[in-house]
Amino acid sequence: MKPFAIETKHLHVSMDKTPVLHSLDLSMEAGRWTCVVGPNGAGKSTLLKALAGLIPSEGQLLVLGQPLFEMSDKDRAKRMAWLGQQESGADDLSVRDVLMLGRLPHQSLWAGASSQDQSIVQAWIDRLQLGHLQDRSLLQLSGGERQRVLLGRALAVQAPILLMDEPIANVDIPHQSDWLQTVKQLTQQQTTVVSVLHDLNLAMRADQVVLLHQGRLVIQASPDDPLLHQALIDVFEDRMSIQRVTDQWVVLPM
Amino acid sequence: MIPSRAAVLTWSLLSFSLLAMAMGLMTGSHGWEWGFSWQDPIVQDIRLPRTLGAWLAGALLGLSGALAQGLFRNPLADPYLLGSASGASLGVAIALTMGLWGYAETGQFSYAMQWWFRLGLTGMAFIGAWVAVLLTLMLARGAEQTLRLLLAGVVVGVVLGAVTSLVTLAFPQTLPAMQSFLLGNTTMLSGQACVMLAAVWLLCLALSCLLSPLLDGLRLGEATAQSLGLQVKPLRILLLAVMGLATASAVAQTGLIAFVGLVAPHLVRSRLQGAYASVLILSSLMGGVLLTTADVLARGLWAPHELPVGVLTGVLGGGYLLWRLHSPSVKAM
Repeated sequence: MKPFAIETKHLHVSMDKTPVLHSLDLSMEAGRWTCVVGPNGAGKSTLLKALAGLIPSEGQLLVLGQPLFEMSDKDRAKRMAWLGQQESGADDLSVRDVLMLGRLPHQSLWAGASSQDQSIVQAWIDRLQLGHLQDRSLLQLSGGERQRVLLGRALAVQAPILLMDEPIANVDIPHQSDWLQTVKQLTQQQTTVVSVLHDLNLAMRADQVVLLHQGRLVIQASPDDPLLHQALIDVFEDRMSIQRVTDQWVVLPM
Repeated sequence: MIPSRAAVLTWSLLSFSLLAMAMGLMTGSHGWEWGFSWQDPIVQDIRLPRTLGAWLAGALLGLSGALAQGLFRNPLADPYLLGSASGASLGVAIALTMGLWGYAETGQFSYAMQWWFRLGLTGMAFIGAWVAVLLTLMLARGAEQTLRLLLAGVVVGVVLGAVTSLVTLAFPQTLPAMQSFLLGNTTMLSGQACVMLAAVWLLCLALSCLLSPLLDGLRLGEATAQSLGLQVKPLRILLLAVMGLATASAVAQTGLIAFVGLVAPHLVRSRLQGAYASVLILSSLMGGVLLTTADVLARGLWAPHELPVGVLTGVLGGGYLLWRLHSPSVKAM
């Protein structure tokens, strides 16, 4: 078994004194893709923000074996890259400049981008096939291209853990396929990926699935686990079935 | 090697600054003249500090406007957003009223009173602007929530504006001086004021550029900025303080100059993409060029009369924004 990249014990989050997440115990293996799913309002995005240290939480939260709250902001940013749900703004920035934002955790206030930052950004531009777009502003891109650039911004951090909240919402099938390919390559290179996804069919392609309901952990299991299938059917009120098609699990609404 | 767009814009703005300043030195009470002499006491004592002071005040407003638009992620944010303009106006109204009381008691303006009067107007405008900014921050319970901060700024602006109106209504003798302040005025700028403005400008520009990574990170939202390791809360407070200092210093010396702080960053961002540090520097240079040019026009267009410079910046700035509103690239604003 691989070591855990993220571990929580009795993780509790409240918003305006209202409990949102209740005593979550989770373990996410290093170099694997864990997908967080659940109905609307289950607390998926809140969990991701808590894991990223963007909102206060109670309980134990270990990142790469170290308590998150003992880390400085810079250290936390270097270890965990975060891609928010439909990040907006920066419309006047070029693709290259957006990717360069990902290098901020590695720069001091006094120094700008180094030649190493430049070469890392260039490498991600090449790898994500953004070369022909690099001088265009975000405003000039399609939804799918924009999402790919924002993913590039998170990847340019070069963090061992990547947290993504709905990274492929409103993205067409070819771009979803590209995204899956990128995630597979990242995990092969030992990057830990944690994503929140609404699309259960894509979620069933992950190594592990975390199912939340009303702020509580229902189950954390492999997509092949029949207990997970039953839990999904129960949480989604018997409104779907899960079937095996070729070598993949497919979730069908009923 | 092809020079970058930022370099071209920097050199253009520096050249325009020198040109506008030279025009400022050649503009007297009878309008535009060709040539000037450095030995001329009018050039040394009046035209030079006025021209240099106008450029510095414009540069502070341009910088402050760029900070406001970056911090609030709003292209319509301007330096007066946190109530500093209303605070400065109230400060000036109080200073004028106190001066009138002094005159009523002694029956004349002594030298000491004139000195106090002059220092008092600038000082009270500065204090008023700062009090308003602090009041806004207090009402918004800090700088964490942008919407709350904007609403608090509006409330402070409206309430202090109403108090200023009340003071001027109670003491109608203050109206001409108040009007001069409200319309913007560069005639009072002295050599000492220029030194003070230059020191504040250099300090604010250096601090803004140093803290500009926050503005870069904020472009994709506060959560993203935080995830990039930026300490959003303390850096935001620091940048608000810089913005308050820049605005208060400019307003205290020149009164309320309309639109320069709003338009300068727009003009720069319509020409330039990239790191926010260059937007800050270029917006500052653009603000300097705009106010110096407006001052030259205000002095020369209707000579020997002089137009209030704030009216001119208002008309030109409003015209520019109207043109942008109807231009095809309006989405980029």
